[in-house]
Order: sequence, then C-alpha cells, then structure tokens
Amino acid sequence: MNRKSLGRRGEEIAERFLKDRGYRILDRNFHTRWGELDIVAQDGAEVVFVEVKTRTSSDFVRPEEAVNFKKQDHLRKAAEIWLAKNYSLEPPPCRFDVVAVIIKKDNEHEIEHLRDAFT
Amino acid sequence: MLSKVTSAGLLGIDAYKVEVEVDTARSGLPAFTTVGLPEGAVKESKDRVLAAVKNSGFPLPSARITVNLAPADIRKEGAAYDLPIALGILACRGVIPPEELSKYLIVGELSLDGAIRPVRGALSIAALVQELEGFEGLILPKANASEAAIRGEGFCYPANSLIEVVRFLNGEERIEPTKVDVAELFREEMVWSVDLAEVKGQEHAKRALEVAAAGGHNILLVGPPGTGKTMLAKRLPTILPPLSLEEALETTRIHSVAGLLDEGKALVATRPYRSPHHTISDAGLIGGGQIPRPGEVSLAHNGILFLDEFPEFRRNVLEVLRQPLEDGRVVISRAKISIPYPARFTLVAAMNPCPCGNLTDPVNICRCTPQQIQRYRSRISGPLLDRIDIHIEVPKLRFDEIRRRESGEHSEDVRKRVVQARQIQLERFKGMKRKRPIYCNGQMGAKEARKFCEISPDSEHLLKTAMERFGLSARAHDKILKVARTVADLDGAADIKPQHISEAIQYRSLDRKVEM
Repeated sequence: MNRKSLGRRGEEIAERFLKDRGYRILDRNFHTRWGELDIVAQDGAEVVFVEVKTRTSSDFVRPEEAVNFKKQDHLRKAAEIWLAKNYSLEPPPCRFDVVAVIIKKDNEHEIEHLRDAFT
Repeated sequence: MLSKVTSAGLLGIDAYKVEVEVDTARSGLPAFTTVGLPEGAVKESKDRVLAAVKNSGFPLPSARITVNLAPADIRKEGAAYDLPIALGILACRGVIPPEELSKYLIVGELSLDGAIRPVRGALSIAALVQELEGFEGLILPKANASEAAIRGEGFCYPANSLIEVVRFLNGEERIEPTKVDVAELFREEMVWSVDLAEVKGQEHAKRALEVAAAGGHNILLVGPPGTGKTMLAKRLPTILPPLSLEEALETTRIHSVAGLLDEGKALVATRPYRSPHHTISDAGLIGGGQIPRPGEVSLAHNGILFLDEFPEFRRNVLEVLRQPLEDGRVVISRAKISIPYPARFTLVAAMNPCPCGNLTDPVNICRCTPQQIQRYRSRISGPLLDRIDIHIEVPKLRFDEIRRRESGEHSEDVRKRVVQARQIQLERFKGMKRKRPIYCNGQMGAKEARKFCEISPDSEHLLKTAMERFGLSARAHDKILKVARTVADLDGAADIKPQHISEAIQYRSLDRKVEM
C-alpha cells in the first residue's frame, strides 16, 4: 500500500468514525495553497477542523506527534480561508482535532481522537 | 466578554499602573494574542496562564483570547502579569465577579500547577497602591508580602495559589492581610557577621577606615597580596553610622527591583557591601539593559562599593563611575527610555603597589621596572583619583603581629566615634543653600573646603614643607584639608591643628612620586 492510498483509507475510516459520533461532515480535503484540511465537520455549535494522521503499526512514531508547529500553522491558515468562504459574517466557535488512525497488519485498525488538540 | 484587572510594571525604582484588559470570544479560530509591547517573559505568559488555569480545575474550552497591557507604548517585562491575565480570563468566563476584581491591584507569577511565585519590586508596587487610592488592597505572592507590608498594615493580601485568589474574590475564603513590625524587623536584621576586631594588626589602616567612615571619604587601599585589604573593606560597613529607616527603605527598594532580596527577607537594614569582580562591564556597574536595571553602584546605595584589583578594571568601566561619585545617582539613557537610579555610596578601592605586588614588601624583591609601575598606576585616571580622598598603605604583617592574641577595637566602639563626628558635620552643613545638600566632609567642593578648612599659621607651615618634600600636587592639597577636617572632627576639635594635618598628609601616598 503506498502512502497516498494509506492516507485516503485513514481519512475514510476517520470520517466514518466521526459520523458514528454524530458529527456532520461539512467538507473533505479542502485544499489551499498554504495547506489542506482533511475533514471539516460540525459538532453541535462548533466547527471542527480535523487533521487525520494514518500510520501502519510498524511505524515507530505515534501519528499525532507528526502534527508539529509548522503543520499547525498550515492548518490554521487553511481554516481561516475555509471560514472566510463559508461564514463571512459571524464565524462559529471552532476547534482543531486530530484523529490518529493506526492500521495494523491484519487490516484491523485503532482510532484515537484528540479533541481540541491545539489552539 | 471583556474584563479588566489592574496590575503594575516597574520603571527604575518606581512602579506604574498597568491595566490588563482581557477579551475572550467563542467565535472564530481559537487564538491567544498579547498586545501592549510584551517582552520575553510576558510573551511566554500565555502558556503558563493556560496551564495554571486548567490545572487549577477551571474548564477552559479554546477561544479567541486577546490580552492588552495598557499603556500600550511602554515595554512590559517579567512574569508578574500571569496572575492578572489568568484572573481576567476567569472573570470573562464568569467565574469571578468583576466588581470584586476591580478593588485590588494584582501581581504574581504563575507556575503550571497554579501556585503563585514571587515577583520583583513588591515594595515599589505597594507604594504605588498607596499613591493611587481607590484600591482596597494589593494581592501579591506570599513570598513578597512582608516586604510590601512595610509600607503599612491591612492592605497586602498574600496569596499562595490561583484557586486561593479566586475563592477570596468570591468571598468563599478569607485572606488575612500581612502585618509586620518594622521597628522589630529593623532590629532583627541589623546584625553583622563580621567585626573590625577580627583584623590583626594594621592599626594604621584601621584608623584610615575610621576617618573614611567619619567623613564619608572614598578610600584606596594599596598593599601586597594577602595583607588583608579585602578583609578591611568588608568591615567598613560595620563602622559606618547605622542606616536610618528612610535609607533602609531606599536601599531595599533597589534590591527588590533587581530581584536580589532573599526570599522571606523584607528589609535591607544594614549598609550593603558590593564587591563586583574586575571583569564587570560598564552596564553591569552602573546599570543597563533594554529596560535598564540597577547596576552595582545602585545596589551599593547607602553602603560600600568595593573594587578589588582596581587597575585591572577596564578603563571605560572605571570612567563611568565618575557621574555617580559626583552626583550620588546615575541616569541610564537608552534609545527608548532614560531612567535615574540612586547611587550614593562610599568607594573602597584596592590595588597592589606594582604589577608583581612586592614593591613595598621588605622581604620579597620587586622585579618591576619603573616604567611598568608607572603604566600600572596610570591606568587609574587623574579625574577618578581626584574623587578618592584617602590613600593608605596596607603593609605585609610580621609574624608576631599575625600571631598576636589580643584583639583590636570592636566595630561598635569605633562606630560610636564615627557617629559623633558625623553629628558635628551635620551641624556644620545645616542651613547651607545648595542644589545638592552636603551631609559629610567628603562631599565638600573646593568652595566649601576653603570656607570650612581654615588652618593656623603653624599648620600652614607644616603643609608647605610636606608638599615641597613629597612633591604633592594642588589636588592633593585640597584633599589633605578635607581629610584633616574629618580628623579634627573625630578629635572633637573645632580648629584643624598641626597633628590633624600631619595625619591627613599620610593619606596621600599615591600622590608622591614613584621612588625606586
């Protein structure tokens, strides 16, 4: 499995996971020149920008550790653009979540959801 | 939601009011911005504040937080705004009633667990609260409370943790305002760990110290290594007149602003003794930094500044001493701001007689050439030497002097004579109209020296002979008169007698030509 398809599979798993928890998916793979938002979802009154990190269990580093400061900055910029496009007048409360998906060798997977991962 | 908390910042040794405004919004992207020229520790404040609030058990969903520190055009430094910012955020979230918050001026650094850590300049901040009026009190770290409470009873509320402050503001917990007995504190702190009696021999040098203390003269100790120059200098504060409460408060304020007050210690009640190493920079000596901090001369305010290995100090460092020696204060000017700090101190300098140190040693032979010695001594400029009234040789001790049993005079006894001599001087200079008041002989200018140091014809004759014999300069002449005045005051004599002059002449050893 190459990196792209691994990522896509992780995002699908994450989307299903969020839907199961009552999130409404507003957008997928919103792309800007400064960064990309994997999933934008609505959780109650809050808009949640979700970064999905997918790894195979053979990887050494925990997936959520890969969301470093630079990545956070990209996400923040992309989120601002998304908000400007969709809510130009009164932006809703927002937060950033990270969903880490670990796909094991036997095709089982583990999901970890970090709410309000950074500001 | 908007909330306001009043806090304080430091400029020089004075505090000024800082309004901490906190705005939180639940809409838009979460962010934490601090405006109002925050520097270093203030910029990092947000991480401490958020962790402290969370760890104190207050829920904190991410939001858009904006903090403004007004006035916005002065740079803010230090961590004292942590507590006000945290309380501002909590007030925005409705945890604290804003009207309670507005009754107090609040300072404190937060640690991640919500405990409150000490800040600098608590004494100055307490003074500000009293000046401002309209405040019920000052909420401050417990470690600073007794220092601030010197300013008065019933308005300094010591706090240990963020939770405690929140409960106090909500009326759920009482905090007893700190009380200190200033007179008692003064008595307790006024103890010396050293005594003049511990110095063996060197009676000559001890006498010179007494004269220096009595007249407020700056003094230079010249002697080979290991003869007790440092030991003598360290004991000079013990024979100086005790600090008045006013002086003690001034000195405490400087030490507090510099963050040098030991935890739990509320008052600097003894004259400070500062001995910076000769590698010190000019900024370290007179003060400096983007937001200027007090230097060694200010920390020595009302006390002693001891410069060991005097010629080893860098030239520019020594030259900056001239302003504080003259004016009793320093003005540190930077591009953005200029701040005056008090710096009235007695300078004690020590040096070897020559580069190898053995020149005046009867046993070890000095191998320095006259040129080397001349160069060594010329590192101290004339104008600076002009401000040092007394030069004294501290010779090497003989074996029997070192082994001698009986101790010399105790500091306390010497101090009594010094206090008496100072009293005479205060009377003398009382009622003089001058821009800068004179308190002791050492502060006399040429004009005053002429007026108060009249000498008899036989003294005149003695002085003339000495000057010719030793090749003394005009500069030395004025110094001799001033020091002779102090010697006479110690004697309780109204006129300067020949013996006073002859003692004063001995205190000019560096003005004599270098003899090989």
